[in-house]
Parts: sequence; C-alpha cells; structure tokens
Amino acid sequence: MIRSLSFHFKSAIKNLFRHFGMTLLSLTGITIILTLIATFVVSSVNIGAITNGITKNIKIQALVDPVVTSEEIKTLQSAIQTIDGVESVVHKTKHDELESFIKNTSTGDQESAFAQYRGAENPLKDAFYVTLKNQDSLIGSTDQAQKQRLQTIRQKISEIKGITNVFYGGSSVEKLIVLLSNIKIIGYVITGILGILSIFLIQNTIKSTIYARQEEIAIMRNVGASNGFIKVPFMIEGIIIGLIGSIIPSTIVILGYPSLYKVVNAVKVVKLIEVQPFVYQVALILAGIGMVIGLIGAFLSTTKYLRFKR
Amino acid sequence: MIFLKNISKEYKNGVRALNGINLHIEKGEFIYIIGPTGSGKSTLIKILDGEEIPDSGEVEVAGVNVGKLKHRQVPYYRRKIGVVFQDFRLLPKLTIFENIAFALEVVGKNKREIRKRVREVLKLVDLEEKAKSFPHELSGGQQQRAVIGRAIANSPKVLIADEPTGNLDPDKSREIIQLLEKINEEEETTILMVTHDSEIVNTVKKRTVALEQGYIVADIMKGGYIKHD
Repeated sequence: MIRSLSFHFKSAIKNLFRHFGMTLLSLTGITIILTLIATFVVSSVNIGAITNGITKNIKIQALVDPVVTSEEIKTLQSAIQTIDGVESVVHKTKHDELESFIKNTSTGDQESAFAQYRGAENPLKDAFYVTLKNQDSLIGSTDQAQKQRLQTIRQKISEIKGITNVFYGGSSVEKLIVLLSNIKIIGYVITGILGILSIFLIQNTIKSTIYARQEEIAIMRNVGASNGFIKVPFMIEGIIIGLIGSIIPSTIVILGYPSLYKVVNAVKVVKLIEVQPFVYQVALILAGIGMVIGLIGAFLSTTKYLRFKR
Repeated sequence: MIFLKNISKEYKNGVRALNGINLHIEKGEFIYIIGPTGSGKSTLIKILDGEEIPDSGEVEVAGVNVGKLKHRQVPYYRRKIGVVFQDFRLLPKLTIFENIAFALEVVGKNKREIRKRVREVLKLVDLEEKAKSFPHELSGGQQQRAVIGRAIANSPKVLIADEPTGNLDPDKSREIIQLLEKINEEEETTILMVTHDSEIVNTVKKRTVALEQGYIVADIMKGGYIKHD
C-alpha cells in the first residue's frame, strides 16, 4: 500500500483535472458550505464564551430590612455565606449604594439630582452582593439545571429573616442564557445538516469520476487489483477536494475575524475570544471537517459501486 | 490445470447458459473453445474468471476452487490467471510501456521489478520499439499484442483469450496465434482461446472443444473446426 502511494496520488490528481468541471462544481459547493460552517463555528464558540461571561458575572443582590441593626448584619452575612453554592458575600451600606447610584447617574461634572438624598434622607437599603461558586461548571450544565441552581440559592437567601428583596437580574438573565444556548444548538444542527449535504455533493463528484474511469477499473479488476486498492485514489481525491474547499473559508476567518473582534469589542458589551490562537484553530477544524467529509463521500460512493461486483 | 466438474449455470432471466459441463485441461495445454453465439462460451469464461459462481458443480483453476472464493479473495485469484477480453482496450493516455506496467502497479509490485518484467513482456510480444508510443499510434494487431502483454504481465498460469483475433485480418490473426503459441511455450502458460475463426482452428490445429446450447458437443484432440447446420 505504502509503496504504491505515489501511484494513488498521481491518479487522484489526474482525476481531479480530468473532471475539472465537476471538481470545480463540488469545490464551489464545499467552499460555500464550509464558509457557512465556519460562521456557525465562530459564532457558537463565541456565544459559549459570552454565556460563560454572563454567568460569571451573575451577582445576587439581597436588600436588608432597615430595622436590622449593624450588629445583626454580621450574622446575616455569615448566614448567606454558609448557603451551598455561595462564593462570597460583600456588604454595602445604604450610603455606599447611594454614592454609586449618584456616580452612575451623574453627567460630566454636573452632579446627579439624587445627591440631595445624602444623609438621613437616604431612601435606599443596605445590600449584600452574593457571588456564586463554580461558575465554570455552569457552562457545561444544561440551562435547566443552571436555572434551578439560581432559583434555589435565591430562595434560600430570601428565607433568611431580615432580607426583604432578592434580585439577580432575574428572568431576563435566564432568558438570555436560554436564548444564547438555543442559538448555539441551532448552529450545531445547521452545521450537521450542511455537513451531510456536502457529503452528498462529494459523493456525486466521486461517482462521476468512477463512471468516467469504469474501463480503467474494469482493467484493474481484470489484472487482480483488490477493491481496497481501487478505492484509494478516489479517497485521496475526496480528501483533496475537501482540503482545497477549506482554503477560502479559512482565509475568510483568518482575515475577517480580527475586524469583527475589533468592532464588537469596541462596543464593550460583550467580549469575543482572542484572535490569535482561535482563528488558526478554526482553520484547522475547517480543514479537518473538509477532509473527513471528502473521505466519507468518496468511501460511500466507491463502496456502493464496488460492493456487488466480483 | 483446469477442472470443470458438472458445471451448470442458469441466469435469473431463465437462460440456461451451461448444462453439466465436464472439462479437464492439463498444464501447458493450448485449447480452442468454439461455438455459436449463445452457446455458453462467455459464461464459461466468467466462471473461470471468478466473475460468476456456478449453480452446481466444481471449478478448479491452478489449484483454486473458484466457485468457493469470497469476494475479497477474487482479486488475488485473478493474479494467477490472465484474461484477454474482446472489448478490453488499452488506456489511451498511457504509453504501451505504462499500460503493461499498470497491471503490475495495481498489484503492488515495486518499480525495479515492474521495469524488468515490462521489458521482458515487450520483448515477448515484439513491441520493444513501441514502448513509448501511445495506443492510437499502433495498428490493431499491435494493440492486441499489447493487451495480451498486459494480461501476461503478472505471469499467470492460465491465459484465457476471448476472441483475440475478432477484429483482425487473417495475417494479423496468424501473428496473434503465433504469439499465443510462443507464450504457451516460453512462459509455460496454459492457454484457453475462445474463437469463431474457423480459418485459424483449421490451420493451426489444437485440441478443440465445441459448445452448443450449454453442452459440450465435441472435444477433439487433433482439432479442426466442426461444422453444424
């Protein structure tokens, strides 16, 4: 097999050129499909990272009843701290709260109108900011489980005496997480469908190569070439088509992603994955997908053609 | 070398191609198989080649029970036999040298072996000067010699030739027969030639087996074409 590798490569490349039209057609198809796959891969991975970022930043805000004394605050804090899944608890007095509120609502050097509420007039309450433990495991977990965890912790905090309200961005965060993960799932499904589609595309190309080479195959059988041997050039042909088909999509990712990265990160709402190793990883994945698709397509059509003949 | 015992073959469309054929061919023999169209000659070749499996009976060629071969064993069996089909041409984009080398490449021989054997074969079929020519530059007789060269490249023990002189004029036909005789002698290859050509069968006399409607109707050691009406 190894010895005749040059023979296989030669005939595979010859085939590619012999059916240049057909090759070009399937190359175009594979290129388009891999470009779409690239889009889905890039967005799925980034959505994953964004979801990760959001869940990492989830903080539960628990408001404290004004009647609670500053000594009792300490016991409340340690009570929240002991709840399963809580990483840390930070206490902010109502003065801290107002100051940050004023800061957020001020424009330029003009102080916010809320500044007048400083001192005894302060209507705000003391608050605890609760950070959750094991944020990374939230990503792997299903959304239902994640939702469940948030609910349980929230429930436990609100049951503590002295806590009036519990907020955590509430259902909007939940909805966002679910939405993003649905988009991710749809992306995977579409990628899968496109993958199958491109297998058919390559299968057809290889089929036409087989028909064009029927006589050659008949001669190969006639002189005693094994089915495996007959298949190899077609497999190589499929792999080459897949590999070449991944060149343009990879280039688009390598050249295009940095711009996307710049634009999105300038908005500062979400942070995309760093350009450097990521684009090359995606390019490698695309080349891998292309070759596997080519191999499967070629394998299917040759096996179908050769199986029942002796 | 070839033993056929009680071979019968019926196709799915109901045609009984062979009916209880018994045939015994010794090593180094040269025999003609004659018979009209539809007499079962092609089926006989397909059974010997391993392409078809007989419904009943046993086929043994060069010590291989051909009817019992599994699909994946067939290619290895084919290396022991050479078959020249009527409609097998040379690959047009390869030179004569490459065409013969092709038969050796596909069975995984190394380059040096291939080169040595192709030279031997080209000498045997008398096409040494045409090694670098392409098939379309050769005459019909030369092309047929190249095809035979390809069939014997793997040094088969048996060479089956289906109408090798079918499209050639009498002179060229005689050349082909002489070549087959030479292969028969020099390479000690057992030769089974299917033919319509009464001229050849009557002049170059060999053992002749006549098939008709799937039966062997004659098996004459001293040869000669048998006329039917």
